[in-house]
Amino acid sequence: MRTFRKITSPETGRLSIRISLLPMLVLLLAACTTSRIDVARHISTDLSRDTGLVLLARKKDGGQKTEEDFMECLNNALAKMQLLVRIYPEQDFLDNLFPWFESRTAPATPGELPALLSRPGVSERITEIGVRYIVWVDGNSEKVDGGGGMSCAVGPGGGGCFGFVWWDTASVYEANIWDLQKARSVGAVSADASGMSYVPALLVPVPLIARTQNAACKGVAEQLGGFFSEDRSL
Amino acid sequence: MLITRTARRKAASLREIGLRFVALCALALSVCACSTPLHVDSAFPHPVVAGLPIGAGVYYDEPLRQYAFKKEADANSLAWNIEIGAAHVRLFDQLLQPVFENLVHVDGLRSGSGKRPVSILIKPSIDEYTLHTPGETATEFYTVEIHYNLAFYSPSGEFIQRWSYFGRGRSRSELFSADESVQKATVAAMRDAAAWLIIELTKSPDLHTQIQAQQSDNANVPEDHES
Repeated sequence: MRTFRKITSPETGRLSIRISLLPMLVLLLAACTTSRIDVARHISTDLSRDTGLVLLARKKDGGQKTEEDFMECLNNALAKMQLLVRIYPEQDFLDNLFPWFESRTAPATPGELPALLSRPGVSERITEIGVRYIVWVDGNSEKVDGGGGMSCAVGPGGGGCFGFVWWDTASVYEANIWDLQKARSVGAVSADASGMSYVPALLVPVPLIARTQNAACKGVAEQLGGFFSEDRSL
Repeated sequence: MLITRTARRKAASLREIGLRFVALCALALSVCACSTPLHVDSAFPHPVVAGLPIGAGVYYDEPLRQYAFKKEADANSLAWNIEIGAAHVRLFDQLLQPVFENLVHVDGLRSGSGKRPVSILIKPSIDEYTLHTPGETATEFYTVEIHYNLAFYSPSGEFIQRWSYFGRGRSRSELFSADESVQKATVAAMRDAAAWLIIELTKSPDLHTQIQAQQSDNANVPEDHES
């Protein structure tokens, strides 16, 4: 009869302790983030693989408030989903419809769409590139409060930091979906995430960062996906 | 003998410190004081507009072709030398081609060799370029504002009217890529101004009326008086 015996050496024991400590450390390093997502649906979406969707950052005074990495995160998150639409690149859309979606000329409300679509060549160009839905993204992440202090010193024998720094970050984003064919709003998604980040330092600074922008991105992408996937419901 | 060796070591050590200090200063100077020219280089899109059924001539003078913004370094900003002349010639070509039935380049406002086959002459110019850095505005954005003048002339070179307009562009400051941020803000300002101009050019009733009046005047003037 063969018996199996668990062999435990001091080496493997230490390794398992380290492995079990790792998730705890990761949990400890991720500071808390709270987020709230609101969704409003006005009409249902008509989808097919030929239907194009473009995410546009709302611009003001020649620039956008929304960070480029947030737009990238949103595009990547939607690209990973099984959507019934294809995502059209933002810059290609702006170039193809220049000058009608620039900072000063873009329609501010869906009510301005009929006038825009009646301009020579605009409707034809939109049909040509196959974009039906526009998602206007607005908002940003910012540090709203903070405090503490830290001092670092380096000498011949080494260096180190001592202190404690904290700050609050708020990420507020909104995505408005427009149907270019029906010239009206399909719905809207808004995300509000906040969190406190800390950096305690006792020789080595340990950053515990609240990833509010990432939480907002995931929340908005998930809800937007609901508008453009099979299980969409009004 | 021992004293001499120690003195030599000290002298060598001081020399080394001195050399390092000089090298550090040279590095700091090369990083901070000198500004390499930043060429704004971007492709601009063809506008989606209905063209006007007239021919136009466009005149790019040397100040526009060679336009560069220069700024000395100060407490809040690096030194800047931003060359935007060539990019503007490309931009105006790209913008005006689809607006007019035919667009020709002219090398002066006064025609020296007879009648020109155009209804109007256009002379764009840059009035002012301003750059605000994050250090100056206490924001995280580079902001560029470009003020333009667009002067309209008859084919024989008489002044008709002038439009003044501007474009504004912003770009978020990125670590170690100030050049890229300024380039983005400049291109955004150029696009902003171009969008306004293109819409105004194709809808302005005053301009069309004046061009038509100019065309009828030209038709009444004997050809040998044109030059």
